[in-house]
Amino acid sequence: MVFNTGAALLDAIVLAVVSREPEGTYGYRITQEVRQVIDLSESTLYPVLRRLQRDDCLEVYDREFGGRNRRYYRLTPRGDAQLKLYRAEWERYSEKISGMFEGGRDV
Amino acid sequence: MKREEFLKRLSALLSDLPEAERREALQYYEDYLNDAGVEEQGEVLEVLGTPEALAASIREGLNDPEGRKGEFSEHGFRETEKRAENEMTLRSQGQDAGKQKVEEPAGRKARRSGSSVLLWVLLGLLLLPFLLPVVMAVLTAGVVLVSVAIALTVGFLALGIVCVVLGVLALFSSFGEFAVSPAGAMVAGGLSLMLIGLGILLTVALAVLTGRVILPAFRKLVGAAGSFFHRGEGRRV
Repeated sequence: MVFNTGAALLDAIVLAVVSREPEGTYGYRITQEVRQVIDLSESTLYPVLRRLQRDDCLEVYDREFGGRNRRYYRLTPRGDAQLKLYRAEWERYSEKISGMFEGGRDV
Repeated sequence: MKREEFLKRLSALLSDLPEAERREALQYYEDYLNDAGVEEQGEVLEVLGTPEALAASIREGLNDPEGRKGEFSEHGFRETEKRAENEMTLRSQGQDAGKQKVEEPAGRKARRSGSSVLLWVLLGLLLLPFLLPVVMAVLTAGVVLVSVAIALTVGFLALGIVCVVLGVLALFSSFGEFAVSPAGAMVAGGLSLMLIGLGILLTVALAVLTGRVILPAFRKLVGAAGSFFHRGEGRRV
C-alpha cells in the first residue's frame, strides 16, 4: 500500500473489526481481519489491543474453546462512542479527499 | 525456535514488567499460537519473529500509553517523533464525546473566546502606559524605513533615467564633433553608449528589485499586521 496508516486509523479499524462481533472476538482473528485491509506484522496488534483495553474502549473475557480458555475482546460503550466518532471523522475526511481527487466538485 | 522455548524466553525477557502485564501478554501470545495452529513442536519464529523483538514491541506499547508516536506502513511499525495534530484533537474530542455528550461545542467555544477577548482588552489597558512609547517607536522606525526605501528606489530610478537621457544627448553631440576630431568623437560616442547602458541597467535592476523583493516584503508586512489584528477571527479553521 502506498498510504501509511496512522495510529488513530489503526485504532478505528480494530474497533470496527471487534464491533462486528457482538459476542466478541479473539486476537488471532482480529489480526487476520485487519490484515485483509492493511499490511501489518502479526505482532503489531497486541500493544494496540492492550492500550484500547486500558483506555476502556475494549473489555476482555475468557471463554472456553476446544478444552482451553480463549481470551475474547468486545467493545465497551465508550469504545462504541469512540468508533462512532472515528466513523464520522473518516466520512468527512475521505469525502474531502475524494472530492479533491475528482476535481471541480464542490466539497 | 520451538514453541515452548519461545514462550519461556519471552517470559524471561518480560520478567521485569508488572506480573499482570506479563501474564496478559503471555496469555495473548499463547492463545495466538494456538489459533494460528502452531503445535507444541511447531516453529514460532516465522509467525511472530524473535522473542526479543516481540518483547520490545510489548514494552514499547507500555511506555507509550497513547501509542501516538508511530505509523504503520507496508514495512510495519515505524517510529515518528512528530504526532499529527488532528489525531490528537480527534482523540480529545473522543474523550469529550464519552463524558459529556450533552454540551454544545459551538456555544462553549463562543463563550470562551468572548471572555478571552475581555481579558486581552483589560491587559491592554493596564499595559497601555508602557506599550504606547514602544508602539510609537516601532511605528516611527517603520515609517522612516519605508520612506528611506521609497526615496532610494525613486532616486535610483531617476538616476537611471537621467543617465539614459544624458547618454543619448552626448551621443548626438559627439556626432557633431565627428568632422572636427573623429577620434575624440568616437571616444565620446563610446562613453555615451556606456552611459546609456548603465542607465538601462540601473532602471531594469531596480524594476526587478522592486517586483521581486520590495513588493513581496511589503505584502508580507501588511499580511502579518492584518493577521495580528484579526487573530481572533482566524482561529476557526
